Amino acid sequence: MYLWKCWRDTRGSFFTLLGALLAVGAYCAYVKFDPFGWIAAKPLESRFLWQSLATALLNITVELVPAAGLFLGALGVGVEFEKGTADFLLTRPRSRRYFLWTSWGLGAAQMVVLVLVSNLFQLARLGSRRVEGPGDFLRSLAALCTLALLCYSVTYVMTTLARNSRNGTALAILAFSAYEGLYAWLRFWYGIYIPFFVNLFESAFHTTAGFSFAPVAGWLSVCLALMLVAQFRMERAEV
Amino acid sequence: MILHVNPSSGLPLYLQIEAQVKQAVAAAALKADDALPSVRKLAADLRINPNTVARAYQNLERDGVIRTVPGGGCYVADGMPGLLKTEKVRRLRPHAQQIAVEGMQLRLTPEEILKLVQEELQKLGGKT
Amino acid sequence: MSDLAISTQGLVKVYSKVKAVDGLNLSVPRGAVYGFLGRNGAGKTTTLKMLLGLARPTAGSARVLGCDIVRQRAEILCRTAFVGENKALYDQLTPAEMVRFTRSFYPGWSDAAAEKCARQLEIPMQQKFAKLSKGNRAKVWLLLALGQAAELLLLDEPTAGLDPFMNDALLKLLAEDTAFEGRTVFFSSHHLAEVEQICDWVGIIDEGRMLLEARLDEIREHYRLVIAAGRDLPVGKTAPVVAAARNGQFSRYLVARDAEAFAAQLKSQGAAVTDVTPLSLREVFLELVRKEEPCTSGNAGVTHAVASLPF
Repeated sequence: MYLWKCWRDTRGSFFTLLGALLAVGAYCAYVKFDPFGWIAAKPLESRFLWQSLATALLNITVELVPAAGLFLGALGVGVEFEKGTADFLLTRPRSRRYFLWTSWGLGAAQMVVLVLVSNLFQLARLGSRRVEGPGDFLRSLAALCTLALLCYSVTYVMTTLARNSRNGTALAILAFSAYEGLYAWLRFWYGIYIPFFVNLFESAFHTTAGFSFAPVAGWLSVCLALMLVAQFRMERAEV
Repeated sequence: MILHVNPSSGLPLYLQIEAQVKQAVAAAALKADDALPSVRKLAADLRINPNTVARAYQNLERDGVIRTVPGGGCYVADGMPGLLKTEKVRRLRPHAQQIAVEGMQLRLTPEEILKLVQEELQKLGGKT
Repeated sequence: MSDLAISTQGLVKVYSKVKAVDGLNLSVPRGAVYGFLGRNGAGKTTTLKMLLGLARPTAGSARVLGCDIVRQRAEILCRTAFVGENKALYDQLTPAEMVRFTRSFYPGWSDAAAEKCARQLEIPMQQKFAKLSKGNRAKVWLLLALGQAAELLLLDEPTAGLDPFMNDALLKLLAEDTAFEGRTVFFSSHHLAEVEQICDWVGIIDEGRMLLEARLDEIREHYRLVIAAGRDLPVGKTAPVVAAARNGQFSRYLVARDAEAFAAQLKSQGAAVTDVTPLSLREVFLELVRKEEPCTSGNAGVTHAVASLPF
């Protein structure tokens, strides 16, 4: 029943995000397939504008899906402390680990659903990115899922550590920005390349050089490590 | 039968219950074989701890005022026929002693003390 | 000791240099209804939190239902029901949904007990928690605790926010269901009247330490307040004196037993004993917890000594 409760807590946000995604997809599908012929009836420049807007919107949306993790991650178990319900939940006869991972698991599943939906749009060739077959599709899916889970997990962990959803989100954004800053500094000042999120995509589309699972595995391990930190803190938390 | 307890008085609740039951029996408000409320019901009605009621009932049974039936239920015992007169007198003696001592301390005369006891007996109707 | 529902030994909790609990020794027998009394900030809530694993003790140890509070937390939580001081629950759920949610954790959940509680406390089961009044929120917590039919009930200010009618309904419920089945009830409260009514044991805590732990009947039968007038009367902690205070010419003693003998002893020292009275719980509490103001005339100021006896 705890899963049910987590669902009740997150379904509003999840449906909003999914709805927004589907709305964008519907709009692009409309522009592309033009069922009533209204787009085709427009002058060239206007048609071009519509189509490029739709394509750009879809591309951006698909790449922003991981950012949905910032919203869903802030709904995790850390919020119990903020709302004052932790003294209820943590006096139920389940380990704190159980609460942490169940709640994380549901959010992770929701993120995967969002990623899948956005990748389905790519399959339907709604955006500009061409998918060259199942291998390509799966690689792109793996990359986007990993990025989404990373974003979600970082936010989730920050919310759990900060015990506050707003602070958690802020800390997650801060963490990502700081990491990007570090990456940029090391790369442009010292020429040192540290793994960056983009290499998920780089590896996904290196069809000639061969796909490398290393970045996917690497970032997923980072998620796991962060979650273990959150678990450690949660088990020692005092209400 | 209406029982009433005062938790803030200096008297333990179980003693208050015992005293009231004994008084009711003495005044014939409770007759032999009348049923007493169950421990649980009395505790709930008075909003007190059932352990307290249980203790009172145990003491009342020990004193022969009530008897419990196996399978539940407490009933007023019928006049303690099993007790010898000497035993009854022996049980009452400490109370009599207490009245005597208190009366002397308050410097009442023996006649005044006896008059008091008689008045109380009359109030109860003098029934046995 | 398996005949104790709760026992603590020297429990200490320090929150950034403040000792919320300072060497607490608590013993709650099984089947007792135990009232935990103390002023605000005396350490009652902190103690409860430690017993439930919501806070970790800085020092000392405790056992609940025979289980260690640090190592066997999950087992304690299975067999214990809790009502917190903070009455927050999930705003978007109704009490009916909260019941469904909570009962999934407890195989021993009693639908009958929950239904009876909901009925007697008149809880609006279909209204979202966010819209409930403070009193109704407290009632929902009680419902979720009583439905568990647990061996031990830990209640932190359960009657806070309840009107007198509902207060009464709660006492009736507790009297009817909980105490009778051999279950133990431990509740912390300010409301001395209801503690006096339904509890058979009482523990008075102040500044994180136990001042007095005794059966209420003990207190009614044997505890007496002895007031005496005289010069240089002892204000010591020796048994049977539990608390003593001197204010000018008058000294007050809270005596645990043999009050008459103690009064006689004072008389033999030349004091005039003006009063030996039984006390209500409120009076006992105030005697133990009161700090006299220093007197500005008469004898050399005020002394106040308190002893805690290992009953």
